[in-house]
Amino acid sequence: MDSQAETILRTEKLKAFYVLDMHGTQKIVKAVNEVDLEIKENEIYGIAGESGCGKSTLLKALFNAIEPPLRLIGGKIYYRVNWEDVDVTSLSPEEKRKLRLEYISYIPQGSMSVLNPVMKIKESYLDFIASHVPEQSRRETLELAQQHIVELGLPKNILNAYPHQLSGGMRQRVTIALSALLNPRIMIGDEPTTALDVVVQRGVIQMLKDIQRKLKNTIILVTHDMGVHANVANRIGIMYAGKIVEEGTTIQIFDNPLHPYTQFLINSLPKFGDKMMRESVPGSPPSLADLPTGCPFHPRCPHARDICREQMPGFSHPDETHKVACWLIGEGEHGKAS
Amino acid sequence: MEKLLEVKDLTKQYAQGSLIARILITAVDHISFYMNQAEIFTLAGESGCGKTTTAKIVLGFEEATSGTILHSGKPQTRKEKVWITEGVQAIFQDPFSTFNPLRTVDSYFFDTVKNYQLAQSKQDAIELIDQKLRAVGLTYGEFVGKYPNEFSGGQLQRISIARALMTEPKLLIADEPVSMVDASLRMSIVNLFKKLRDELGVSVLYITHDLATAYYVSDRIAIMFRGNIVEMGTVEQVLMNPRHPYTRLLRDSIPQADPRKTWADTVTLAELEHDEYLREGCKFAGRCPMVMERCKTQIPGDISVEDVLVKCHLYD
Amino acid sequence: MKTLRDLFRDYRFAFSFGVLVIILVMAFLSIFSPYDPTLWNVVPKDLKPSAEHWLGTDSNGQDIFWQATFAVRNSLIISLIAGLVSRVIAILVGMIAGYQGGTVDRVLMFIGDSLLVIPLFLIMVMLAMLVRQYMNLVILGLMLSVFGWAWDARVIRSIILSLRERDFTKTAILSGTGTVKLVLNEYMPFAMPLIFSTLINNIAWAIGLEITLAILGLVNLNVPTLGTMLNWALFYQSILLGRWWWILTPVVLSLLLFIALYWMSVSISEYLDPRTRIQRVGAS
Repeated sequence: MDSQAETILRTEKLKAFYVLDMHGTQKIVKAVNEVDLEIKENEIYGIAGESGCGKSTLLKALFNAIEPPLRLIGGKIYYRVNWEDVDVTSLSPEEKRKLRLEYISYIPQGSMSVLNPVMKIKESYLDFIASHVPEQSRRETLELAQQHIVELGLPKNILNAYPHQLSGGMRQRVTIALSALLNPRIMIGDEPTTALDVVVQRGVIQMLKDIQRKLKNTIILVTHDMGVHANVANRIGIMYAGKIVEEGTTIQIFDNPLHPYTQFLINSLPKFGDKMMRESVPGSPPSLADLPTGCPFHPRCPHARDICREQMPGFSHPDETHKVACWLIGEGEHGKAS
Repeated sequence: MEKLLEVKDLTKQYAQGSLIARILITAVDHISFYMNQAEIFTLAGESGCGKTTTAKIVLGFEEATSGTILHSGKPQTRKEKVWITEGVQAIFQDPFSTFNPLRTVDSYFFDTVKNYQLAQSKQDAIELIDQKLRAVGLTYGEFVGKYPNEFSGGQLQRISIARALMTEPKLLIADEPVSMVDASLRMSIVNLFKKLRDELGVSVLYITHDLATAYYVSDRIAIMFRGNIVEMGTVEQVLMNPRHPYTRLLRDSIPQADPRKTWADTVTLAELEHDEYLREGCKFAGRCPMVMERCKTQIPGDISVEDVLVKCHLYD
Repeated sequence: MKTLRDLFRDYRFAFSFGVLVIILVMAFLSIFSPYDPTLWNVVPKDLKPSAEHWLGTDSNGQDIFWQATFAVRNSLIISLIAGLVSRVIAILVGMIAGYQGGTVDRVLMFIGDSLLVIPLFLIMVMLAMLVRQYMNLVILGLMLSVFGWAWDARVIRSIILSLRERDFTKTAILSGTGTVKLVLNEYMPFAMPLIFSTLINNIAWAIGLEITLAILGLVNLNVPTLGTMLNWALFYQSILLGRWWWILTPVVLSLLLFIALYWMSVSISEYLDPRTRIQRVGAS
């Protein structure tokens, strides 16, 4: 990973809330609450955090799939297309559609159910190809797809099978292969390994690494399982209550986790071979519709101080590639409140 | 001391397919194991190995094709309600599906009190419920009158355990209790199992595919593959020194939370599961790195190697 | 109640509530009718609406307004009986067939399917001709209910079949709950919106069927109902003779009733849908 590498996706103070209106009362869920990201080319970027921290919504926003009840409240999202920064929030639906799947593809949660059960896999692929590739190259593309699949370690006659004939893990891999078909520069995966058996999970992760190595593109991966991040991500962003609270290279995050939440996340995982008593993260994540004041982690933080209850800390940079938003580490870019 | 649970030669077969092309899938293939009192025993394996089916049969929700199950020496009869007669309870994989989303969570507790006659007055019932909730780290006050969607997955799973504890069971069957819970919250659930074993003498039959938590919490473990138990022994022996090639594969595939310990080599995955079920000989022969000729035709027996039972020709 | 307040925000519910209140008031007013609805020539015939006779009079010599109060009352009675009785049958059959499965399920569904498949109209006509003399409101209501349960029983059965596989069924069983209580406590809340909206639809259907049978002359024409009023109005050529006040009364009342029932059923079932309900539950 090259720290001089180009930034391929960038967000500036991104805010995306769900505005729910149920029978007269309005509920605002602050799922993405001022997020600044700079994702580089040729890397695997992992986003970690518990359920309910807003990471799935962040992915939807990054994929530019912001639709009611989710609304873009503020901030910008830029893709670097053809050496230019494109503000994707202002694109027309046709331009958006073109970008999707050719430039950026999305692997949703539970994608094993995304394949049409009454069509052979080959037909799903053809469907997909037909909407993006001009007529004359379709057959070539299908042949390329066949090759692509074999290279990724899937059995070669899988295109002729129906989805129900395959196991969940196999379907997941087929869906991932499909999303990589048109050589997208960015691939976004929302919990691609959750609910999979451990050996199958390993196969899926392997496949993602293979794809990244071959295409030299960027993969943004969201999962709550730090073990998966340790095996696959180059850089990790820790998300809590709609904000990124720490970011760094995988080695930095695991060797030297600075934010108390990150420390909890890592220490709560069993280390195989070690029977030492471990504890889960105490308490529960806050409701995104009813956030605490100041730093959202303070109710669960064993080191909370007065200032933590009053103000959200800015980012401190203990290292060029490692940043953390915590009053324990430093005052951050904004300094203390006056 | 008498064994709490004994499963002998248990088999469960399903017929699949149409009238013309019926195949018999053996989900559970002549397995035998036992559990002691105050012990955490894990049945580990991937999906399709038969561990959940075994749990359902022990719980009485499904009938075995053949074999016997003994609870403290007494054979389990057909359709016996073992949660009433033998003090067996269970918790399930999806905490949000365990409770009816349209009912308050406490209603199940009060139902249990009424149906098992655990208390004489409402006040006594509340005290009993509060006691069980405290055992799992919650209080009556923060729980009463709430619906399932007002709790997190981890909390609901703990509430589910509290409900199972209401009848003071001797055996708790936990079917993949942490698979749908965030990795960072799994410890709280699994630590509870340890607490139940140590403080209340409850035995836990822990069904999982997560070997990391299995190692952390179990006393003994059995590894299942396509309906067979391929290795069984204490968790130290089986997971620290795995003998069966499948156990080795499982152990090596655990994602470690350490970026320096990533997987070294790649893994090949099964093509179509059906084929593995119907294999002659050892079912793992299709992907075993140490496969020999006789593995393809002869089913290995259960061989005892230093107190560990291994179903593999390598140890013949 | 909070529920009513929420429901009133929906204009459809508000409108239908209003209409139904008016209709019920009319039905209630029948008690105070100064005229006996079964007699003829109690007032001068064919008078236009006036201060004395609000909706005019008909060719039988009856005051149309007071006739209408009886008509509305009787139509409601028939359709309520039809709707309620058929709900009860549908719930019992659906729940038993769904939960028990096996032979019981097959037998019950066979009976239900047979009722769905045979041409309803012909059977009704036959039965009506046979029973015409003994026909009263209750019997007509019961006859209609026999044909109204089969479809909904199947739908309820499907709901039960899918709920049976969910984990909370197991939790209830492990809590020691018996079959009957389990089905009532766990599954009914899911089936309620369906039962409610089909009740209302069923009532509308029964009213419509009664009108049809009445126009064909297959009911006791001396008992005033919306259908029989229409029948008499047509018999006496009220359209041709321009006696709009007579023909329009049952037509407008029936139309208002149908629209109100439909809108009420739609707004209530949207409100009660488990998916939106789950969002609302505990949210306050």
